[in-house]
Amino acid sequence: MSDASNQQHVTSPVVALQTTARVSEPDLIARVLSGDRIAARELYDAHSSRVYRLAFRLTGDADLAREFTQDTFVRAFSQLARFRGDAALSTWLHRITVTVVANAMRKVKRFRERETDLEDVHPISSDGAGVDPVLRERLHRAIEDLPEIYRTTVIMHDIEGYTHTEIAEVLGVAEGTCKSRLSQARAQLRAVLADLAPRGEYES
Amino acid sequence: MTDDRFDKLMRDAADTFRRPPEPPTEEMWAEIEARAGLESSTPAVPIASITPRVQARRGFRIPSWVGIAATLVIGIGIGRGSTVVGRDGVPARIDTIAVAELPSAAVPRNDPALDRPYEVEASQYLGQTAAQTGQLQRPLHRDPAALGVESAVHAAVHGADATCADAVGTAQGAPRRRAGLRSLCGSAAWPRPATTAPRTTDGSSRHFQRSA
Repeated sequence: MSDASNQQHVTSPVVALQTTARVSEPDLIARVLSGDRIAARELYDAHSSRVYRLAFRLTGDADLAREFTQDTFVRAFSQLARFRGDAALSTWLHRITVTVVANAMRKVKRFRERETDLEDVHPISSDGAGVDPVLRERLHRAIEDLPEIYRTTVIMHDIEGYTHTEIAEVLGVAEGTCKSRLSQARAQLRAVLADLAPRGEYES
Repeated sequence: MTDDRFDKLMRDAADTFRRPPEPPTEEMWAEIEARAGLESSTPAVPIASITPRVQARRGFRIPSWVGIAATLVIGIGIGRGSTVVGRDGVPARIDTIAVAELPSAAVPRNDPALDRPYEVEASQYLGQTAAQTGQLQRPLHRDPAALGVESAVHAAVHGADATCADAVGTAQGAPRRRAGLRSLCGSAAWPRPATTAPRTTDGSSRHFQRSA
């Protein structure tokens, strides 16, 4: 990778997201560890969007997502010296994100349970034309009601598009465990949607 | 068909379920900078504008071992000064060394029960204690008002000796050591250990009875 393209990372977070992790990630980490503020910002620009997306998907709240993203990066910068490079930096960051969210959401669980009106918190877009709004709302509610380990797996795989390998690394479980959790989560979602579907459509 | 419909629903959910807004990048970064201490690690002004004095102060770093060595030297100095120099600046007399010879001579060094180092050390320390107590008693005799204090000190010292002897007596060959300690203190008021004396029937027991 040339110097010109490296300089492009600073100004283009998208490019940095695609190339920094492969080529200059160790150098970037070394610079951050040496106290380079610009390198820290590069690392943040490269990963903050996806960390924020994951935090928002897991929490459903913009303020919480912002707070957890900050917690993730503060913890990451403070523990960056411990990063051994066994996995990608993004995987390490997302593992921190999931841990931060899981720990914090246990504390705010009561408030989540009090939220009764789903539309007030999660406005439904009009992108999904052709999908029954009632069915969609039921699905969203069913995803939220899943146990945490199933919900995280469904969100990461079906919503955010992580692979089973990535999820297994982030969650620290075997890949087979990840697949099993996803299968069971989908089965529960189908069961919830069965009474709303046309007769015989969701009966497995 | 069922799977297709479900997959379609899940694909829809990817677009509609908790669809994240645009992340507040700059606000989050400002908070992260402040919390992670990134602001202080990198100077806000260019390096060239920093005065040479500040640069020199940043470049001069004392190795950690120098601090440890300095602390050690200061500690040793304070310890030696407080031991050798008295309150009035005059070097203090170390009476314990000279006095320690007196009870050490009374210890039967050829006693096979005292051939172990810790026994000799214990005998010497107890001998020093007894000698210092004797020195303490002398000025008290001159002051009739302190006679009550003297008796209390005497009782306390002999009581402490008896306690030490009982503690040592749990080990094997205790009567011999007890006899040696008793001779150091010069006291005949030793309690007879009812549990340990009959336990041994060899020469050590006879030695204890002879001394008593």
